[in-house]
Amino acid sequence: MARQSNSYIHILRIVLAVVGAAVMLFVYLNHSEKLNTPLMDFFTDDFLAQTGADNAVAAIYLNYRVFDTLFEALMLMVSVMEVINVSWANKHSDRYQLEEDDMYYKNNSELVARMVGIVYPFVILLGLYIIANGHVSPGGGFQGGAILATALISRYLVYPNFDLDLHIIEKMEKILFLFIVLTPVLYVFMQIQPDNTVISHQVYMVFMNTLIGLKVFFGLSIIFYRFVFYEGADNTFIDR
Amino acid sequence: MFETIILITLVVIACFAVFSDNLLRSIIYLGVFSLAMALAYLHYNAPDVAIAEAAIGVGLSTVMYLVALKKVSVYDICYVNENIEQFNDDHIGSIMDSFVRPMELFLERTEEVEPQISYTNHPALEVLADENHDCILHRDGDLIYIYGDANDRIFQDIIANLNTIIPDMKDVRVVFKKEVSLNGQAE
Amino acid sequence: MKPLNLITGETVGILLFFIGLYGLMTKKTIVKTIMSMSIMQAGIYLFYITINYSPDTVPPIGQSREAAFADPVPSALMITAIVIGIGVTAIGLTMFMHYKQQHGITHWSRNRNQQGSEH
Repeated sequence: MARQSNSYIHILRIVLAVVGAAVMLFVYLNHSEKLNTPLMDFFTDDFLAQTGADNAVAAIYLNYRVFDTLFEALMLMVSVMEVINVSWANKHSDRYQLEEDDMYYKNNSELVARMVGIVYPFVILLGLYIIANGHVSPGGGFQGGAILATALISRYLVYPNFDLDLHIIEKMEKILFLFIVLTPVLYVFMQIQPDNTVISHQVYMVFMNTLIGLKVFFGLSIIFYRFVFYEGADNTFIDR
Repeated sequence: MFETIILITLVVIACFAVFSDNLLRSIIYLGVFSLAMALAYLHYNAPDVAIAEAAIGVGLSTVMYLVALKKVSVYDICYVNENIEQFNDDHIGSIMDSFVRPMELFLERTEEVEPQISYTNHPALEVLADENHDCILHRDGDLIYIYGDANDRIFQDIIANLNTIIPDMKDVRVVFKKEVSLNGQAE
Repeated sequence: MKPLNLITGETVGILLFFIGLYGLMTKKTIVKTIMSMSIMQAGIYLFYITINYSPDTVPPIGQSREAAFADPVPSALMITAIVIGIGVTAIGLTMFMHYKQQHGITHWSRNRNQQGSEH
């Protein structure tokens, strides 16, 4: 009896998904209309002179719509805080740092280690390049920070260390967030600018991109190391 | 044309990732899906988003899923065939359809554990003594021996449902692990 | 030729969203649910990116103006959304690992089924 009703619910779910897709597609295909794009016209009109960025996307998320960036950085910080604090391993994390050390050396393939060792500096270079040139080419703080975090992960494959103090990184991330909030508030909203020229705007852009890149890098590396601690926690606690 | 190909690829890979029964496979499909997604963004004149998707979707989230997968309980099966000099794809493919796939499906759907299968040509008794597998399939000629722990609930379920898992296999012997060590000494 | 014209970024975005929704409703593994959410998010990104796309545009970089610019607004919004998406994934996976450690749950309906089979 219960199994039968379960199968009814299963069929109902499939029907719901299919009908939902059909209705959405039907409505979309029959009632699509071409809208005007006033925002796009405004943003792409004269963004080099107004914001100092050659890349319209960077101009939008660092100057025209800087609130987006602020709240996005806040969201990332909240998720990092959740990952760190809503976890039972938090109380025991000191213990794993001692036990992990020689466990991972055995499992390392030398092929992977050597190849990653060759690629690793180039990945860091690419990340820094993308951060520094975010305002003139595709890229920016988020992307560069994510690539730097990937470099950290590849470093972990070569040299699996646990000597990073996550609390210090977390504090640094919060301080960086303070600066990320402070800089646009002073520069964009309150217009405290040394000079209203393209050069001054570009300095602001590079500075903001660097801050965001470092913050995203710290946040994602905290998340990654947290996950690794969970993984190590499994090995020690399964014997309990 | 390129647009159409990449979009159809996206839908197909998304279906693979959602409908696949093996978690590890669907994680890899999700990585490939992110890569195709990055290509699509590049085609749609959004290079910034493409870089973000390539770095975050392909690199970071795949690693995070892989780490999280270690938490899902794994059922470790070892396939032993002493008569094969070296395992290649033909040998694995020949046994794939007959019982590896049905076994995986059974473990995945009924028992809800993640199957993991390894192959070896070491002697079965050595494998039994030295390595710690949940279940060992030993093929000797036409006979297939299935070794496992009698107290293991999943192994009991496999034995109970063996007829439905492997319908066309005739010569199957089930050996519980305690008997094996005695038998090995007797021989 | 007519069916090929239907395959645009927006329709595929909607389809991806509902594929993800289907996985969200029917799959019993928690990890699979989180992956379905990622696919739903990807559908939304694709929908937004292609919402104002026309083939004869160039990426909105530089000042040369050989052709019309592509719309930079959805790009800027979606970069933000992607970073938030990785945050959502991280939170979901952390909660999954937490549940697994505390209660041994990896599937939504696992405990009920197991008790049934043990009797």
